[in-house]
Amino acid sequence: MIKLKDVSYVYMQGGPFEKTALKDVNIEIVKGEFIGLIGHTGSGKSTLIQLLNGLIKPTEGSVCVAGYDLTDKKTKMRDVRFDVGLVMQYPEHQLFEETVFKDIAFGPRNMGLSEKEVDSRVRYAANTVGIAPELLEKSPFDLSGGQKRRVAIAGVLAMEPKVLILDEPTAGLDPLGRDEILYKIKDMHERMELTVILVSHSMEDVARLADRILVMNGGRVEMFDVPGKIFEQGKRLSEIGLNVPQITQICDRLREAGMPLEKGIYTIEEAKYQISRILNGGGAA
Amino acid sequence: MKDITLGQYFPGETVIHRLDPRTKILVMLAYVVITFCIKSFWGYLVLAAFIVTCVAMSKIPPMFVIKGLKTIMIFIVITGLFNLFLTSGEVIWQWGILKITREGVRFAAFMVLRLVFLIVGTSLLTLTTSPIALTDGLERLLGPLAKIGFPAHELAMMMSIALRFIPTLMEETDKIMKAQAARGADFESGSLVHRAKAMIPILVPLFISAFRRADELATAMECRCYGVTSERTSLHRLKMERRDAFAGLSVIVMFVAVILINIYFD
Repeated sequence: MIKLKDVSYVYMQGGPFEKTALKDVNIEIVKGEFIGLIGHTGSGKSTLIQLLNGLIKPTEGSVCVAGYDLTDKKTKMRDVRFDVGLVMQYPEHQLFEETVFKDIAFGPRNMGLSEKEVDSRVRYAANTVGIAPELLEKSPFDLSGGQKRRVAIAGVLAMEPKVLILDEPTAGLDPLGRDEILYKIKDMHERMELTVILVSHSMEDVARLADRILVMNGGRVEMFDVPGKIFEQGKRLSEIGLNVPQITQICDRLREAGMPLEKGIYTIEEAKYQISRILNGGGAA
Repeated sequence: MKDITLGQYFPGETVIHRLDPRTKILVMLAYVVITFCIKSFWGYLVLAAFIVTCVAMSKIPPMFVIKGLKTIMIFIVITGLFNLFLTSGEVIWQWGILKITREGVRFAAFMVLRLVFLIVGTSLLTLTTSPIALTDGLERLLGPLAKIGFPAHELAMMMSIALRFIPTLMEETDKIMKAQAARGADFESGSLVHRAKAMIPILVPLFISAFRRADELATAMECRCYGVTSERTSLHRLKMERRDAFAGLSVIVMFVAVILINIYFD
């Protein structure tokens, strides 16, 4: 589905402010995977996701997404963007239409779909993110922050992309709004076989949702593995300014204190299971 | 958009950079007046010597100064062409209705030189003076006018806020353009009307964000009691030094030289 080969990206090449944002990135992601993308500020996350839908072109290497070769000059970038939906940070800042309906319809209309198709897609997308039909005729600027965010996400979903990339979709939301949005994303991922890339600062969210986690550091891929393997390396993670989920921290402390717990525990359920087994049975896991 | 050097600050520690902003503004005003007073090409030689010395002293790469001219090149060329072809006088070349006169050549050359000197000079001011110093200087210069009700401080504050937000808004524009492009917005193709319409998805969010920022800034300023005291003191006191006197002196010398040249070569 997604394949990056030896990708490098340099900002303002040749200028006095030249800066390498990505270096020798090689990744492969298969259809239907849920990828968590984490990394410190300035690690190249944003550059990476902008490469994936052709907003920027790599300085070196090749990028293939959803059957398109993005480094081929003949590829029409607009077509790519309809198949690779990108929800940028604070997407509610891009709302501009008079009504919620029209704003969600912006993408589908750009695709040149019939009005009937646009209508059904908008309603479907709005329903998916939990926007009630009576809100569709309201002005997007009258909605609450969480609702605006959901409208903006619906605007990308209505294009029915094959790959969905979200850049910190929960930043600045209250805990309830956050859980709701993450739940909706997970739900869509499962129902529509979407390939999802979720950029997040919350280790808990990524641990809970992702099949695999991609850790970026200084423009390079630091780790790319299943959550259990990633969170075994708590020391390395903290060296590059990241941490492990709180429950992993607790389990690591317990293990240091002599409790024979396995490495890389990252869900509360797993921790509960292991700890209670040790407490009840008294033996090693 | 990255190529706009006009009005950009180029940090440095040279004598020119350290001049009092008031001096620099006044010198610049005098420089502009002199530019308009010049009546002979010899006068421009004096001006050129002055500005080249200033650029050299400021250690700003000359290419950087010249790049500032690029943005308004079209303007200069059009002005030059108009003067070249539309001035009446002794015809020296003719092709159909197009004719060039001796006076036209002279006038066009004058106009182009004048514009180039004006732009190089004023951009040198902004290149060597940080926006904050510039508005500080302006506020002090306009200070006396406050006595007759002129809002000197407010004007300076507005100026520094405007300057401060130019890069922010440019960044914002880039972000919004990318977000809309991700939804398939097309800014490049189609007719003029089509392209103008394509700007709406950018302009609406941009205005909203500008208003939001303005609102937030106003709140933040009020939280810090901005406007409560009528008499504001400043962190950096402006002080005239010997170099400022020297700068003033050199401008006077230049002025006298230009006037003498005007009389002598009339």
